[in-house]
Amino acid sequence: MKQKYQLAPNVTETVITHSVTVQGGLKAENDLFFDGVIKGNVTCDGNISVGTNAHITGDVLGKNITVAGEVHGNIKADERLVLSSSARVNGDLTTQHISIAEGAVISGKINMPHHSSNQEPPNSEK
Amino acid sequence: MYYYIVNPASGSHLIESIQDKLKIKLHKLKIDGEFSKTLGSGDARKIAKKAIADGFKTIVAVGGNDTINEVISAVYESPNRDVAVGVIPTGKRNLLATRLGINDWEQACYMLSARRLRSYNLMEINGHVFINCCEFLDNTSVVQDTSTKFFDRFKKSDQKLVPIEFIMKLQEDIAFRGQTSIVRICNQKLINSNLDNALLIQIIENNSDTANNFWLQRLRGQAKSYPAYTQFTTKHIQAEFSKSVQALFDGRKIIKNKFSVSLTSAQVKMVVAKSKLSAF
Repeated sequence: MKQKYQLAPNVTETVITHSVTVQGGLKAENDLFFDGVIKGNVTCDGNISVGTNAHITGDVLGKNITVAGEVHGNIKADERLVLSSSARVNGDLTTQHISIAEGAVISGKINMPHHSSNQEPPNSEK
Repeated sequence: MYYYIVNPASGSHLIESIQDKLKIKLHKLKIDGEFSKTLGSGDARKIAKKAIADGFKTIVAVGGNDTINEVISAVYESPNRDVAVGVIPTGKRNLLATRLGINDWEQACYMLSARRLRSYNLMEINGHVFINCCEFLDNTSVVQDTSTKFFDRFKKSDQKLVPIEFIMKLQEDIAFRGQTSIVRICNQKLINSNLDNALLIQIIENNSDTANNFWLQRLRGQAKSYPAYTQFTTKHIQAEFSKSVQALFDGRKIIKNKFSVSLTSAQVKMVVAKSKLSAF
């Protein structure tokens, strides 16, 4: 018999859309897509995607993090950090691997613990 | 031993046209048992309680959402919850049956024969227990006329969903605020049996056209997926709205502006399909 519905993933992704404001810190166990407004830290055991509408005033901590919105706080990605062209970050970045698209604005330091020295971002605006 | 609770009025008396075939099918599958018919609202609950007290291990609701919910409530209220609940859908709206992977009464018979069980934690809203889904939405005229069946009225009219302001508090210091047309809370395990029992909160974006189109499709049983929404999981949530809203849960309704929704520790064993379906 033809299956009517598709299998769902084994985890439920947390999604916060642009119409939602979060008060207090947010902690997600699984992957998180955040496109809303928050004053507080965003922590996730999985991957975090910060959408273009996002406005985060607080630190962002996750495994792999992609930023397309605005973050006023430090970002710490355990593995990889990707800043897309619309990203606006006012805070320090800590990660193993980083990718910064042209147009992204960073005001802060880039810390890469497995590398010998800290680097100033090439297009940072201080 | 199976105990079948039949709602003869369910689904415009569908049972009248299938009851002979149903009994033959159950006999062939060697799962025939005792039958009782309900006469009105609340009967399924009373009958199920007595059947559980009499030692029946599988209680089967033959009907729609209301019949199933009454049977589940009876299990919840009984001191012995070591019974399985089966469903043979004959109602107009068989939302829970769909979630359990049951498409029609014949398939339900085979599933009852296989008796594959899965436990689901019940949820509670303001002291009322439910298993499947709770939806919050505002519809002013229906709020003023509670005697009218919401679904039928909405189907026949041009009434549109009204945006509502909400605050969802997870803890004292964590809250979600915004505006929406519909909020849905369900047990995520019913959507995907791989997942743990947890409240899955889904808040539809306040795009009135999208929300209205979705809701009308939903009432017609044609909606395949939710429009864009915020979603997260939790075990307990306090939901507050800027004005009174309707909470529609498993065929019942309460109208308030504050709700407390929790995942209870009480479990009900349901007879389910083998496949792990993501049913909307």
